[in-house]
Amino acid sequence: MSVRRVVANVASCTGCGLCMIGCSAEHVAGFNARYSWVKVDSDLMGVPAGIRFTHGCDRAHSSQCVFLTEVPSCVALCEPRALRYLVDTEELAS
Amino acid sequence: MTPGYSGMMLEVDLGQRRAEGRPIDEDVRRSLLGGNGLGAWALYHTLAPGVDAFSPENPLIFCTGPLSGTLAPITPKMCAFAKSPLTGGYMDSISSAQLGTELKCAGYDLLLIRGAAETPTYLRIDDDRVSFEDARSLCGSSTFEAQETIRAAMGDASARVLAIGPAGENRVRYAAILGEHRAFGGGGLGAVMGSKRLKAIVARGTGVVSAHDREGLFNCARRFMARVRQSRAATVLTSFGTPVHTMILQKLGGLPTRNFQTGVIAGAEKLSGEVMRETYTKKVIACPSCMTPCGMVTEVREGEYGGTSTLGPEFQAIATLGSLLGHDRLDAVIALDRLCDELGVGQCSVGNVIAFAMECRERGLLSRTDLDGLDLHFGNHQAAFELVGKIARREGIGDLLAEGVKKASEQLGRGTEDFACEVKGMEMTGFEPRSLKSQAIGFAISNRGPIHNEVRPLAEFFSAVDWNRPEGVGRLAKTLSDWTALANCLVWCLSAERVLDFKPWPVMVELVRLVTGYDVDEASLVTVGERVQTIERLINVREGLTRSADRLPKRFVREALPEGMKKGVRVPQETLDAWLDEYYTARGWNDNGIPTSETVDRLGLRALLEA
Repeated sequence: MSVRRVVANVASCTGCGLCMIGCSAEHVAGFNARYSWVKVDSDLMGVPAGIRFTHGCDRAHSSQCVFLTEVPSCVALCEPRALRYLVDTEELAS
Repeated sequence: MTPGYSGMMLEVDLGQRRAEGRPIDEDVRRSLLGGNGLGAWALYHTLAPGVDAFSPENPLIFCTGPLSGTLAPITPKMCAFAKSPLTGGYMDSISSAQLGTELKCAGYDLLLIRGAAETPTYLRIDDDRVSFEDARSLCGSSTFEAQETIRAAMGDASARVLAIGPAGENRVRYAAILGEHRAFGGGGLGAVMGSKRLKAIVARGTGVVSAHDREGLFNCARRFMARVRQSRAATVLTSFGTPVHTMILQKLGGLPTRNFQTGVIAGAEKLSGEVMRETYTKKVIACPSCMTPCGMVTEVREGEYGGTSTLGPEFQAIATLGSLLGHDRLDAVIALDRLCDELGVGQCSVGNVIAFAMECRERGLLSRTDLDGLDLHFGNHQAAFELVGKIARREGIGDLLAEGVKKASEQLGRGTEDFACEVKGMEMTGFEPRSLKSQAIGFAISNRGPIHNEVRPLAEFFSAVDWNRPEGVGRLAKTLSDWTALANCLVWCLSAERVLDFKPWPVMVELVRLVTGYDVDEASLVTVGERVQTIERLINVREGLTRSADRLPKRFVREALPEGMKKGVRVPQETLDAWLDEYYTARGWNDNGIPTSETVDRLGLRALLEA
């Protein structure tokens, strides 16, 4: 069985929050970032300090995200590629 | 309910400590969409003509747009409205503050605040529970301290706050409102908030924003992302932010310098986006929902301003707090930017006011004694820094300068009106209107005062108009200001839209359709823009602002640029008059700049304005 995982790099994150808005739409009947399973914690200025996965997100896209089939929606909406979806790579094994 | 809307407005009376939700008619939403349109409509109905801007009867309005909080790209903004204490007319101010999304998730598209509190208060909106909280302990606190304190009291990191600083509390006529580090900077709405003794607003919303076609919206956002990744304009914007304009303007001879005495400054490259990126930028961040991050988080590491960090400065701050004050010190601009945000002072206005005072000193019209001992002269950024604090506290000379350039000049007299750079009582933004004709007409016609975004500065380069001939300029100004009004209805970013190569209409149509399900097309969206411009104008007409208010400062009409690419250029009154005639005709307004009855009917405004 292949190993699949969403990995986060906060250094690349711009804090736009589209990942959270997209993720929330997977879980509620609309949009509200507070229902997202991925959380970008930013300071008052808007500088992202950390990216967390909550609510039991398995970060493996196992039937949790429905909009796209190839990658989780948080990754699909991440323009700066701070979130990436890795499948069977050495990066995951290390 | 139509997707994209909550369909409700929250009406608050601070004096009576009462709040109630009221539905917003479907006709209003469909005709005006949101943001700019919805706010102008609400101001038209709730502002009694002739009311003083600091009267409790002046309503303060906040508004979101139908796309806010959804996956629609480049729509992070919200709008604020009131009668302006600078212009005495219609004002809207637009910011990327995040409270709008919380407000929408709490169930409101619009927040209308009337009356004034008896003691300092902050408004707490927790879904449908509204309360009036004691803000006495927050008096005098910075905009950031107030936000942090209130957010902590709310016990929810997702709650969002708007706050004023000392400048708003002291009714500095160009005080700002801050949400996070994003300002509603123009037009003095922070002073209106201060006059209501309203220190802050906090909102928390646990509802959701719906969309007509969520999957379509998702795919649209993905296509937009692909476009961003291929866009050269996006690369430039995200590399240098809006300060990329510094050197463009310098080359055009249109970088406002020494109170608009000239359009070039020696050492401009030290104020450039390139130097900012290399020397001061430590992170580039985005507004909410935006795929073209252009927010430069800067830090001064050493020297007299060492240890200062801010979000920005944007180009407007570099121009008005840098070259306009006759200096080329980016570290000083960063420190001034931070100080203005902490104190809640509108940056463009305060830069203009200080530049005006510097010219007064240069001409011997204000002495060092008049200036409380400050050695205020062009180039002295330390004195400017001190003066911002005095203005925010209305201390000494700061009390006069807190009134804005127009009122200060009226009080000083002695020919100062010849170099008082204001339109409708509001100070200028950072594009030189002699070097960029789009700005000359835009500054004159804008209902809210001289704003660079009413008619885009880049119009100069992408339009087919021959700016040296009178024909076509007024019509182009109409087309572009309709586009501006519509963008501000949605509420979308006028900077990030450059990704779309200045052809935003197809994406605007698609997004409105996907989110609201309204069957709109380009023509119907243009009509929305026309409606908004006309409602704004009708508010101004009620306040006595007509053709004679659509003018330029004397300096731009009489004095030619002394150097640079546009040396010798001025904007003669005859030229401006020809532009205005064509603009009014294109709008269906009479030659005094007043919308005709036929135009009100053609735009379907009669019922909306009578309701």
